Amino acid sequence: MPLAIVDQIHDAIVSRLEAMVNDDDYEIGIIEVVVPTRIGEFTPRDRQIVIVQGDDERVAEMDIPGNPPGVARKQTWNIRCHLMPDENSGEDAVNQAAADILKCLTTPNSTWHNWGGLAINTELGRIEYVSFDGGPDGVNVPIHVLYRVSEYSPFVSRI
Amino acid sequence: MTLHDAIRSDAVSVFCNADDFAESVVYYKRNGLSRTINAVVIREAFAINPEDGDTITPVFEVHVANDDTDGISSDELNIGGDMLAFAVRVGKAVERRSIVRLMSHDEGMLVLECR
Repeated sequence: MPLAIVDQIHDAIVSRLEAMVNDDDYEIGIIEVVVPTRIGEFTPRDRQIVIVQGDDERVAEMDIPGNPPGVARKQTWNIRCHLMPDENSGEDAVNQAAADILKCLTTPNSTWHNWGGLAINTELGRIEYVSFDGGPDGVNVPIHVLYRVSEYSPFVSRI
Repeated sequence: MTLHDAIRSDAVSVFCNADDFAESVVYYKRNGLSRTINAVVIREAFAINPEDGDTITPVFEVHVANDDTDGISSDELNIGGDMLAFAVRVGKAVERRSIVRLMSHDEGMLVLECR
């Protein structure tokens, strides 16, 4: 059964970020990429990326006419990196984590934004730095992916 | 034995007694070392991770003696990597869960949040 276009984009995002795991090109040292299930099933760890799908938004001005018409949508993904360093280290790696995530997302530089031809464009959102009282710190790098599908079928791309 | 000493002793032998409400768990330190200790594991409902905003994971409140042999001492605890292994649901397989927060402690007991 074919995947919906949004699912294919999701898989492309996960796959690209998984390239960071144990890759020396990235200073931060990501250990795993997690996509949470309905009941969690993961434990927070240092240098862990958690991908959470956010809100969807209609972008009517990017629709195209036809039979069926092409319907444009903007989907947000929140890419969160947990940071739980040795409490005796005094380490603060939030900026490094954000920089490495951005470097990974924008590779390859010329075509990173279309996720293998599935999307029209991708915007990098406002980076959020998370510091919780005594708990895990982290950084959230949101991305907003603009894509278009057939009105009758979210499984058909209409780039 | 003073009352102070008696309370500290009771933390191990009474409050963390495996014949009553405590259970055997494995404490994994960040440096790779581990040991088996007794702990009272309170299996809370699922909760939103505030640092994630959207993810939901089970939350565990774990009570251990403040002791570097029979529990976890407050000066050895490292919430940057220490983990506890126990069954997430009674009867299911044991899993490692990160200690994410030291909720409270005194000379006798530590109360930890695991997720």
